Amino acid sequence: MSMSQEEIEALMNGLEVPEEDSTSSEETEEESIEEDTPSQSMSEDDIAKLLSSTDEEEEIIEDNESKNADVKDDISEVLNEIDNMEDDDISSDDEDMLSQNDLEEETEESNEFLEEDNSDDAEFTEKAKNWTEKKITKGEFPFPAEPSTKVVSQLNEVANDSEEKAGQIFDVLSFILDDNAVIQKSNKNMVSFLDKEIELLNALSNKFPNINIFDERLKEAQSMKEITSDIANRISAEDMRLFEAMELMQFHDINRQKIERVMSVIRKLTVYLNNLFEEDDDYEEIAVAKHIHGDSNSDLVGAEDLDALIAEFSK
Amino acid sequence: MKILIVDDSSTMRRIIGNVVMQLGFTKDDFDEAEDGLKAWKELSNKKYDVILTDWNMPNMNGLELVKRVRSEGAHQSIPIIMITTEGGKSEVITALKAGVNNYIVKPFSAEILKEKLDGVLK
Repeated sequence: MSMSQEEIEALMNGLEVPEEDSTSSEETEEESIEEDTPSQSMSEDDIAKLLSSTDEEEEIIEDNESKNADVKDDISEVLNEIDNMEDDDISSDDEDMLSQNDLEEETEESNEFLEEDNSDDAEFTEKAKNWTEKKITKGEFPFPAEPSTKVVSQLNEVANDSEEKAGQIFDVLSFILDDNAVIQKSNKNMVSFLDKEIELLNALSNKFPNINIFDERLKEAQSMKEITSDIANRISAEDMRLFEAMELMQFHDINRQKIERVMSVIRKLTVYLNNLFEEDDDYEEIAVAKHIHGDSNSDLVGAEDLDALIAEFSK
Repeated sequence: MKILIVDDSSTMRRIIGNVVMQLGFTKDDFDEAEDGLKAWKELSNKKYDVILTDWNMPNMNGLELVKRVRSEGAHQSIPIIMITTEGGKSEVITALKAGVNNYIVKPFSAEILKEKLDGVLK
C-alpha cells in the first residue's frame, strides 16, 4: 500500500494516522501482513506482552547458555583429569620400557618367522638334494656338467697331480739315497780307521804276546770291522731296493700315458658325436609333440575319453 | 762321455738319470730335455755322445727328432736309443727305419739299459 506524503510526514512526527474505513479486501490482507513489521503501530498491552515474552526468551537463552557452560566445564574437567592421570601414572621411564617391550616383542616375532622360513628353506633344500642324489645314483639323472665331473678335465687333473706327487716321491727316494751315500762314506772312514787299529794291535799282540789286553783289543777291533762291513752291505741292499722303487715308478709314466690315451679317445668321441648330430644349416627350434600314439604316459587320452571330453565341453 | 736324456715326464727323466748314475756316470755326465724341440736346441749348442729319447712327446716327438738328427746338424752319426712305452712290432720297425740304434720298451731295468748302452757305444 502506498502512502501519501501526508501520512509519511505524520508518521515521521509520531502522529497516528486515522484508518480509513473504506479499505478493500486487498488492503486488509496487506495490513495483516504489515502487522508483523516493527513499523506497525502497537498497543501498550501488546508491547508489554512482547516485552514479557522477550524476557522469557532471554531467560531460556540464558538458561541454555548456563547449561552449555556447565557441559563445557564438565568436558574440560574430564580432559584435565585424563591428562593428569597420564602424567601421574605413566612416567617417561615407563614409556621407554613400554616402547622397548614392544620392540622386543616385534623382533622376537620377526626372528621366529625368519627362523621358520630359513628352516623351511633348509629342509626343502636338503630334501631336494637327497632326491637328486638318489636319481643320479640310479642313473636316471646325469651328473651335472661341473669341473669336478667333466671326464677329460678330471683325467687331466689326475695325470698332472700324480706327476707332481711322483716327483715328490722321487725327491724322498733321492734324499734317502744321498743320505745312504753319506753313511757309506763315514763307514768307509770307520773301516779305514779300524784297519789301522787292527794292524797296530796285531803288531803289538805279536810283539807282546804276554799282554792279553792287546789281543783282546785286536779281537774287539776285528769284531767292529765286521759290524761296519754288515752296515755297508745293508746300505747297499737298501740302495738296491731304492733303485727298484725308482724303476717301479716308471709305471707312473706308463699309467699317465694310459690316461692320456683314454682322454684322447674321449676327445675324439666328442668330435665324432658332434659331427654325427650336428646339422649342416642353421636350424630353428621346432615344436615337438608331448604325447604320441604308442607312448606309455599315464596322461594319454583314449578314444572314449576323448569323446566324453568333447561332449562335456560341447554342452 | 755326455748323454742327452729326452722325455716329457720329469719322473721318467729322473729315473733314467738314476739308472745312468747306477752305471757309473755322474750328474754332470748327462743333460735333460722335455721334448724334441728342446733336445734339438741342446744338440745345436753342445756335443753329445749318446741320445736316450722317448717317442710320444709334445711339440716334436722322438721319431721326428731322430729323423732330424739323422738328416741335419752335427750329430748325424750319434748313437740313439729310444726308450718308450710303444711296444708294437710295427713301431719298433718304424723307429729302426728312422735311424734308431736300439730300442727299449718301458718299464726297463738298469741292466737292460747298461746292456743297450754298451752295445751302441762299442
